[in-house]
Order: sequence, then C-alpha cells, then structure tokens
Amino acid sequence: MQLKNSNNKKAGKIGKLITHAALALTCGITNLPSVKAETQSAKSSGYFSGIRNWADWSGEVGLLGYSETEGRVQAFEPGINLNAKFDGDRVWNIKLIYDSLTGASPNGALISGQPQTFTSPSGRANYTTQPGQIPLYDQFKDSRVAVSSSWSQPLTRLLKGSAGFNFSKEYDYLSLGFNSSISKESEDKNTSYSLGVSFTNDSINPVGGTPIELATMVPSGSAQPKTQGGETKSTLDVLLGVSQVINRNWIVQGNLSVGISNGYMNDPYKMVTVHDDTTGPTLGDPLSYIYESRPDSRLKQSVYLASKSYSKYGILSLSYRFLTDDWGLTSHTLESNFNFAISSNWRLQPGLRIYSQSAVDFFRYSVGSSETTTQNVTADTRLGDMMSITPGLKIIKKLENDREVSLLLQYYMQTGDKSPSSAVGSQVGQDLFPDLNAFIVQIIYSF
Amino acid sequence: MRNSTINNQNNFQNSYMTNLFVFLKFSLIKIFTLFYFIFVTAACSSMGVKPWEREVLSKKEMTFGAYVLEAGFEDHTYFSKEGSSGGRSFSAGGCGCN
Repeated sequence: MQLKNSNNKKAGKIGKLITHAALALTCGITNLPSVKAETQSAKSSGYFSGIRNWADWSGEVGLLGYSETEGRVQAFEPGINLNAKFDGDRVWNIKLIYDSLTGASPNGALISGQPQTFTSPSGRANYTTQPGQIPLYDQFKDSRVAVSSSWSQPLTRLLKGSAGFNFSKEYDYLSLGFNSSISKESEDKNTSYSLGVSFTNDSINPVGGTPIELATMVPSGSAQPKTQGGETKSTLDVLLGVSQVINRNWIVQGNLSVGISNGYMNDPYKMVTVHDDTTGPTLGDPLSYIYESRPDSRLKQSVYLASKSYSKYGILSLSYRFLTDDWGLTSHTLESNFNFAISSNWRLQPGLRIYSQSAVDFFRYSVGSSETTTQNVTADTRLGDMMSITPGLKIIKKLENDREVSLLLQYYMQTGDKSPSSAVGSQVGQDLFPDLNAFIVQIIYSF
Repeated sequence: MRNSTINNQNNFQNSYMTNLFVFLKFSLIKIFTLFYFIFVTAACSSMGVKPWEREVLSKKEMTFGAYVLEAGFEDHTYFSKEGSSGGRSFSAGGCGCN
C-alpha cells in the first residue's frame, strides 16, 4: 500500500479527472432541476441532451471522508454510480471510485517501553517509534482507482440475468474480476431468488519486493530478505439469496455466501515482534521482527439476514451477519437504523453498527525468542479479538423527482484486549491493542 | 519464492478442490440455513401482497440495495479495518486492505 511521490501525483491527477468527469456527467445528465429522461423534442441540441435522451438515467454521486484519530489514516474517496435503463427493463450500470489514502499505518510490531527502529518497506530508510507509541509507518500514501460495470436484462418473464466486471489499480495492487448472477421472481412477485458467482484475480507487487515469510527484518542498506516478481491471489465467491414480502409494510432477505481465496494472502508490510522470553529484567523486550505468514488459502462462509419494516413512525432496518472461516475467525455484525420524517422534505436516520470478531488461529501479539516459528503467524490487529461500535446519523433532504441529498456522520470505535494473558515482562502495563477511532462523513446526491 | 520451512502450505493447484471438499462437508450452520430457507419459502406461500398494495414497498428506503454508493463506501471502510467482508453482496476486495 506504499506509493512513490511521482506515482502519487499521477494517481492524484487521475482521481481529479474522474471527479471532474463524474460531476460534469452528473450535472449534464440530471440538468437540475429536471431528472428523468423527458420527452424531448427532436430538435434538442447539445451533447448532454443527447446523453439524457439515450436512456432513463438514475444514480448517485458522492464523497467519503475518513479520518482516524491519533494522526493515523485519512482517506478521501469520491465516487459515482450510474444506471442507464433502456426499453425492456435492460439496465447498464457503471461505478467509478477513487481512493486517496495518507497518514500512518500500524506495521504490526508491538508497543514497547523502549524506542524501536524499523526498516521502511523500500529497504532504503529507517524510522523510529518512541516508547509507548504504536509502531506506525507514517510515510504511507496510496491512491486507488476502481471501475465496475454490469449489464442486466430479463431472460424470461420472471427470470433476470446480469454480468459484469470490476477492475481496480493501485501502485502495488491490481485486481480484475468478473461476476454473473441470475434471479427469479415468483408469479406474484412476492418472492425472489438469486444466485451469483464472482471470480477475481489479484496481482500484488509490494514496494521493495515480497518479504520472505518469517524472515527477520534487517536494517536499511543491507540486502533485504525479499523476492522480486510479485504474487497473485484468486477468489471465487458464490452468493445465494432470497427475499420475501411478508406484508405491505415488511420485507425480509436472507443470503448465504461462500468465498474461496487462494494465493498470496499476507500483508507484505506487516511484521511480528520477537520478544525476549528469558527470565530476567529484559523479559518482554523486543529483540527483532519477523515478516508475517498467513495460510495460502481461505474459505469464508456467511449467513446474512435483513429486515425492513414500515410504520407510521418511520422505517426500521435491521440486519445480522454471521461469518466464519477456516482461519478460525468468527464474527457477528448487527446493523440497525431508523428512518423517519421531521418535515415534508427532511428526514433523519440514526443508526448503530455493532461488530464482534474472534481472532484467527495464528494471531499472536508477539512471539518468544526461544520459539521455533515455522507456523503461520500474524500480529495484524485486524485479525485479532476485537469489537467495534459505529453510531451514526444521516440527514436526508428530499428533492423533486425522487432526487435526494444526504449527509451521513459516523464515528467508528474499535477496541481489543489491551492486556492479554500472553503479555510478559515489560509488555505488562503497556496498551497492547490501542483503540482505533475514526470520523466518517459521507455526502451523497442521488437522482 | 516462499520459505520452504513453512508448514500448512497447500499446493496451489489442489487448494480449490480441498476447499470445495471442506465446503461440502456437513456443518451445523449450513443445515440451519437450509431449514430456514425451506421454512420461509413454505410458510410464506400465504404471505405477500397484491400488486396494488405495494405503495410502501416501492419506497427507496424499503428496497434492499437501493443505496449502492453508501453501501460500497461502508463495505470498503469496514473491510479495511476488520477481518470480515461480504454477506449482503459479493465480498469487497480488489485492494490490499485485508
């Protein structure tokens, strides 16, 4: 996820180009205040008039702002999602997203009561973390462009099919995927079944090369324990879903998902602290660092249940996802929000997301110096025991012709075990799982 | 390319077959889900609405997957900071996030 400045500038220019093009295209298509494709006279002139008449347009254009506290990661993400609906219920969809990330990202090493020096991913520089501080690489910069598109159309009176692709590119990562789905409605349109398949192939070219798993980090200027040539990963996802109308005010949905990934699964920029495990005054002190190692494959299975119910007070949305994988991770995700009107054109939507996760089998805060580490190991807290809570509030302004503009404010709070039983010596008393808090803002115009 | 002393390495060509076998094995969660879908489908044969009763259901807030951009932003954020992904749609990915 590291990026040189010259490539950052190129990606930044691409991002600005996408943003400007998205705004211009959206304004041209929507041509405020009119939205839906109107019956234009044959004498309508102008490029955007032609686009508007080509199909029945709808979509969204928006912006995500993400900022972690303590000077960590910040992200800026404009995006656009467009639907062009043609005769016969055929729809072409295209989505463009640009990510710009900066800030400081944890390198996986454990907090210590003494200064720690690390080698940068390029292998050409060092950086030092002060005592009691989270080891962060603060030269983290990355930009990503993502494009996805799909075509859907009826196959029979009750059967609909779709096919699409998704592509994303960042400095050290390239992803290309294809997906297809089929859905069938019951005669009364109250029940819908869907089956989708997605295949994605990723190419990873880490800055400075791919670290040899479990190799010890060496100082800058020395030959780095890394290989050149890049790595690959492929993922197959299958999703089976059903939605059911219960009554005129209530609809539910259930999905069963399976995902199989194979290939390079490591985070090439993450390492694990090797601590002194000899009894004495240096017990727990960091001695060295090894690059993490994850299994070559991952099988994920999840069940997702959702409900939307209407009452005179508002609309209640609830969802629950249970996920488990063969790495030993199990998670529960509960999301809820309540959408209600405060005036004829204004609505509020408070919401809450609660997430809990049990660690993967190979998660370790650190490994002892006398251990012979040949198994998979990671200290990436994203795979550890943790939970997160995300309260939020969405403010919606309804406009003419089914358009709306919304502002979503959220605060993400992630916590883990700060004093695990595995802590020894100087590790005891340190905050070994610092909280992660982030402000999230979304501004979206839909038409 | 890889450290040959690492254990638990599956052969790349056979890993799909291995994982498919694991998926096909009996598991409590799959049985529960299967019965849930059967129950819902059978019990819901008497549920539903007539075409002229869809006024509320046609609202955007009552439609699953109506807010594509918002869902995409949220999925990417959570996928980058947690160990889970996907469920309500295809797994988020295409980046070196998790």
